[in-house]
Amino acid sequence: MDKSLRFEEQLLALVPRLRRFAMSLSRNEADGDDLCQAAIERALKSHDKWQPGTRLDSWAMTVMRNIWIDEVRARRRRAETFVPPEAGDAVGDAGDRRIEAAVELDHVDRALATLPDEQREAIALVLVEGFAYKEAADILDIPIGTLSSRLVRGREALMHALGEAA
Amino acid sequence: MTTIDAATRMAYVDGELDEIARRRVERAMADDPVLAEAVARDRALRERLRARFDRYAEAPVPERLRSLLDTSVVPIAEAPQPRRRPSMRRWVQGAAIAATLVLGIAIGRQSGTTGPIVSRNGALVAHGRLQTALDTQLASTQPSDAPIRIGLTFRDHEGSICRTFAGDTLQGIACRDGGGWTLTRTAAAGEREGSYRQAASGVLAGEAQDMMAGSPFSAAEEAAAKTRHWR
Repeated sequence: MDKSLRFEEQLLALVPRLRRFAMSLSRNEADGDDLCQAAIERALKSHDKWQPGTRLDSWAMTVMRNIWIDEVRARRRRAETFVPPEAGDAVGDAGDRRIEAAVELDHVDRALATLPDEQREAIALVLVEGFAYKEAADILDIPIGTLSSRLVRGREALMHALGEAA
Repeated sequence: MTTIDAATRMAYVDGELDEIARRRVERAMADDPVLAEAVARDRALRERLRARFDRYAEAPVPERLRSLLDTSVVPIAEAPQPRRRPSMRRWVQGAAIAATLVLGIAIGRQSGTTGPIVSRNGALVAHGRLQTALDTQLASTQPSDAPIRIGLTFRDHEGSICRTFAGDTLQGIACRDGGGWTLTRTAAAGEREGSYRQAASGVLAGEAQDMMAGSPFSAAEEAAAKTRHWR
């Protein structure tokens, strides 16, 4: 039984978790907050598609994840047409010291960046958001077995990227 | 020696195994230091990811996101017109909240003090004498003619302390949220039939029952909760 008066209030209570999920999907604060905003707006718009009595957190994460997938596809299409501006920027970066401060951030982010999207989202839902396999599989609309193998491959790839492979 | 595959080992770390499978992994770990190390690495990875991203779950919600959900701007002066389709709940939603707000503010105006409810960040929060009653009044010791009477005190499923209350014009359920009381159910008060417990024996008590984890507080528990500031 929810105790909130309104859908908006329940959603507001979920925003910190939605932000965390958005950040682990996008690994970029500006993108993460844009994603979060888009997800909140779409959730408000499709309020009537949420069934009271079911988990609002899973539903909201599903909304967010679907937006993110669309965004990733759109970016991929753009990337095929344009050369990414970052390509030449990394050379001779004078901001090395600033970067050092965020080394741990960078390690994890870079390791996550090496994962295929479908492994990254599985990792984000289970390892970061703490969803049970069943719930995560429902959000991603895949069988539990598929989720489990993505978690195995994703984790092995992450460990490898973080230099912790066995 | 038992062989534990990677999927089973990770499911163990993720808390997905049943009792029997869990024991099997633990027995295997006792015999196999390589497996035990792999489990430790899996755990460390989980923690490392959480350490990277938990900051966002712990940080205050940015205003830009909060404002999307802030519905505190209720058109009080106009005919109540919910901005979004109200859901079919027995208790107050949308338009009715506006009505209660008007009620709260009207009461405040009449008595020359602040109303019992204010809207803060999209939530209705107890204020003024309602807040004082929720903070200080014990059902066991309150005078029978107290303007606001406290009914049941209990913990909800999320562990917050909630209290039912009834005044002349307003009754409801308020739950502890930070240092204040968020109103989770409100309704115009019905006829008062002598004692609050009678009045609350209807819908409100049913709502409280649904929200409650365990039983209502005894007088002693209520008093103890007060000294802990309802945490």
